[in-house]
Amino acid sequence: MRLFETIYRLLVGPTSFDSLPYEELHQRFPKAKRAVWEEFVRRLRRLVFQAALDNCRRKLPHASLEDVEERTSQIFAEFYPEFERGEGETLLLRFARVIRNILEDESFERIALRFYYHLPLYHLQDDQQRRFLAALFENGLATAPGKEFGADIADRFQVTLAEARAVLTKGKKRLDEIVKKDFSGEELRELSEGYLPDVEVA
Amino acid sequence: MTKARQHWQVHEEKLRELGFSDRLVGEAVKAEALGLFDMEPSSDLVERTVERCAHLYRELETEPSAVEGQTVTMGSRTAEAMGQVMPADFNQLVELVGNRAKAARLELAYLSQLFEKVEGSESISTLGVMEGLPLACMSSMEYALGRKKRPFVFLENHNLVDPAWWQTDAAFRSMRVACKAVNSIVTSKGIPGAAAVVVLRPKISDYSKEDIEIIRDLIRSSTFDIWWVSYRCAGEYRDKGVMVVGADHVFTLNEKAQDAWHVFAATVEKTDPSLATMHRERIDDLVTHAARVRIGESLSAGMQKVIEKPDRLKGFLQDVITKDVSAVTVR
Repeated sequence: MRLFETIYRLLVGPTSFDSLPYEELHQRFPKAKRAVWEEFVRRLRRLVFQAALDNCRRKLPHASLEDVEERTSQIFAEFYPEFERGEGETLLLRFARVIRNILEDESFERIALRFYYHLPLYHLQDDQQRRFLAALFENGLATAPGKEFGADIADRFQVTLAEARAVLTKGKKRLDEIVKKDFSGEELRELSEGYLPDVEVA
Repeated sequence: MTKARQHWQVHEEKLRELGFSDRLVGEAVKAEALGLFDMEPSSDLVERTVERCAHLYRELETEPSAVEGQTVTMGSRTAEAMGQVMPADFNQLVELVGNRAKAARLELAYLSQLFEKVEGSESISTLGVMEGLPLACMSSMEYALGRKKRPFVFLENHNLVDPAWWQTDAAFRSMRVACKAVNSIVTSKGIPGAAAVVVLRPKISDYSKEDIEIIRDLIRSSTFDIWWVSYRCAGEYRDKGVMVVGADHVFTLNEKAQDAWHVFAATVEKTDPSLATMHRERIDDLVTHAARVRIGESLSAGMQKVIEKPDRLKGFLQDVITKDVSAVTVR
């Protein structure tokens, strides 16, 4: 089926799954259940894994990778029916509730702000800026082992380190504008449990 | 002594330089301090997690498809007509690919018309052929599956087109990708893939060492069924290149191209079912005078040996050029 999906994605062209804001993710591709779900899991797996790791460490002194992955996978699986049903705008909010239910609030707090930043992030229209910043957030704002800041992103997207950093800088500026202009302060606070905006919005 | 492990690292200062807030950077720094970057999820975690929910979305995917009854109209490409529906089965996919390719070709034709009176319209029209050919190939899948015939038949001519362009030119390469995709699908249903009959140059000395190397690479990586026919046996196709796509599309090249762009600029496209049938039959006849080079997914054992070394391939090429096909054997 992989070849078919590849052809499909080639033909669908610019509206790729990784360009869609969370609000539109499952509405724009109502029949592409698997591919949309895969995109959702791909975007958030590392952050959820971190929260699960925090929780496992507090509950199981010798938590193994398998334990943490099982917990991570369980969170996604329990959320799936919700993913299908609810409003796109509240997707992250509803997912956060499931994470809190399974892991407790304290573990969710470890990732909360980086988690909710995903909401404005996918409003970036520039493909490069969005992909580079999304990669940074998917990695929890950390850089791959042994690499300079931005070097893993430069490798992944086949650009120089200077180019990667320049795109990240521009993207961050644009992201600030989106936080200020695309959402009202109240709306953003509602959709992010008050975590965003994380700075004073003029 | 335990070897020091390298972990993901939060570059606090760099993040601040980018303008991230203290709270945001602080959260990442705290996560690092708590060792939350020490453990890495497995590379197949996404796949396993997605599979875990498969029973839930499979039920939903069996609903009637939105592509059923879909028509492609110019200028009214809604999200559904754009094909933004993941097909649940093979037939839907083929229909979807066919419709998408047809729609894209119609749009190209429409755009070319718009540019007709504008300076540089020739280039736009050439661009239309360059973009349109791979799309036409993709749309030939429906024909192949419906009629159980080859999706397209290609009369390639080394006297008009340099084989190197299949490797160096982007438009030629996209043709190869389209061919590969189409061939994979139709052959998986037991239908023969696309065929290429190649008209060779008149003399072996017309081929350089580099040409032989390129031909060798192309044979190895091709997904076409390939035959070689000598210039003297090519009859009416000696100085012609033809591609018959599906039931009615015929692309013809009647002059030697100076470069890859020229191939598309000089190619004439016609939609004519009887012309398409005629070329399919004539190219089919030509195969009786041609040497078989490649059939199906892999090369025959004999051909494997021939292409192992350039001089063996050159010898085989020479035999095809100079001898009757019945006397040509794989050495």
